Amino acid sequence: MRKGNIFMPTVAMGLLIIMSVFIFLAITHRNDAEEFFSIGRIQSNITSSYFMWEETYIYYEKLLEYNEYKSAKEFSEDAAVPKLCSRRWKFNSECEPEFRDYFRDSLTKNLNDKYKDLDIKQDIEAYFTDFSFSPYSSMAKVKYEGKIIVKKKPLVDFQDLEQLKSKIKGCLQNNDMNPCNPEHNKGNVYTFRHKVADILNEDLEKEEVYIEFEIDSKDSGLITSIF
Amino acid sequence: MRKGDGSGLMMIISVIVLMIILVQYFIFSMIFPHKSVQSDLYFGSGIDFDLINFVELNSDLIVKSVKNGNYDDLSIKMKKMDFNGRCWQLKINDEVFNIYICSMNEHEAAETSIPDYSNNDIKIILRVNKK
Repeated sequence: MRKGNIFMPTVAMGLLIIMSVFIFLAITHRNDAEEFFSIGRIQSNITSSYFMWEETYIYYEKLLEYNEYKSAKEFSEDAAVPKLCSRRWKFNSECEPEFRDYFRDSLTKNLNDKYKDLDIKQDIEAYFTDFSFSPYSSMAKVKYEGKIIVKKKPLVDFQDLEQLKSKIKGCLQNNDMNPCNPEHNKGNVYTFRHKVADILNEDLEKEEVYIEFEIDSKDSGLITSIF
Repeated sequence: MRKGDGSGLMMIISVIVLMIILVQYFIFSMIFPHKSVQSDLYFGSGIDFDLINFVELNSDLIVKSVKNGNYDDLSIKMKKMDFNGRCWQLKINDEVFNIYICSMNEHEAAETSIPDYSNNDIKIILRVNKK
């Protein structure tokens, strides 16, 4: 028999054997084969992880938002000074308003240990929790880790309030309260009212909150001019 | 080589080649039965996105409705949800809403939660019948 006569049958038989082995392996290792040939598992798990992250983020975003509303309300009700001061400001004493500190304390109390770190500067930055998602397949494992930090502009304009405080100090030191536009006065006690923020109240209705406080010009805690 | 030599061999080879093609087709149709992969971890579904959107857009209304026990306004928002005519249910805590009068069969589900004004969790589950 010539060489050429056996070449093609050999090739055909060889291919048949290879294909049979391939079919056998594919059937016995079907799950692995599916995964090996697929490009979707890791990607679909990443998508799933993204949704989980998104849901967690929304949860904490709302948590911060509602507690900020509550803190803004408390801030206005107490006039940013401890309750024992009865909304009366007195400089160089515990009744001197420290706006950011008061607000931070209030927000800390309202968040009720549901956060890890809270920073109030230009923005409110609340670090709530960590996330760790590990989408995997038998071929690879991907790990995503990070922090869930919600950052937002504060409702309360602290800079505006600091300016108000400085202005009132100036008025007290000049013994002339009129430039500070008090709401009214009863003798030496001047009452001021200043808008703090727009919030949603506990009924989820829109509400404007105002800081309303008194200052006794004869007992303001400042050394004022006697002339 | 005489005329007719090797014709038997060629026929056998043609049949084998045809078989190989058919076997390959069979193998690939077996490996990729639906041309998609369902991961064990990925519970769901395209409806995650719908649920997240709905919750994010209506979170205040959801909290308000749960507080007041009045879901009229929220029901109006729910009417805008559409899953190509598929039957769906939305569960907010223990309240179940099903605008279409239909029964839930084999379905996919997505779940999330949001805090209320007092830091309690409101659990929201969306179930949609599979196509």
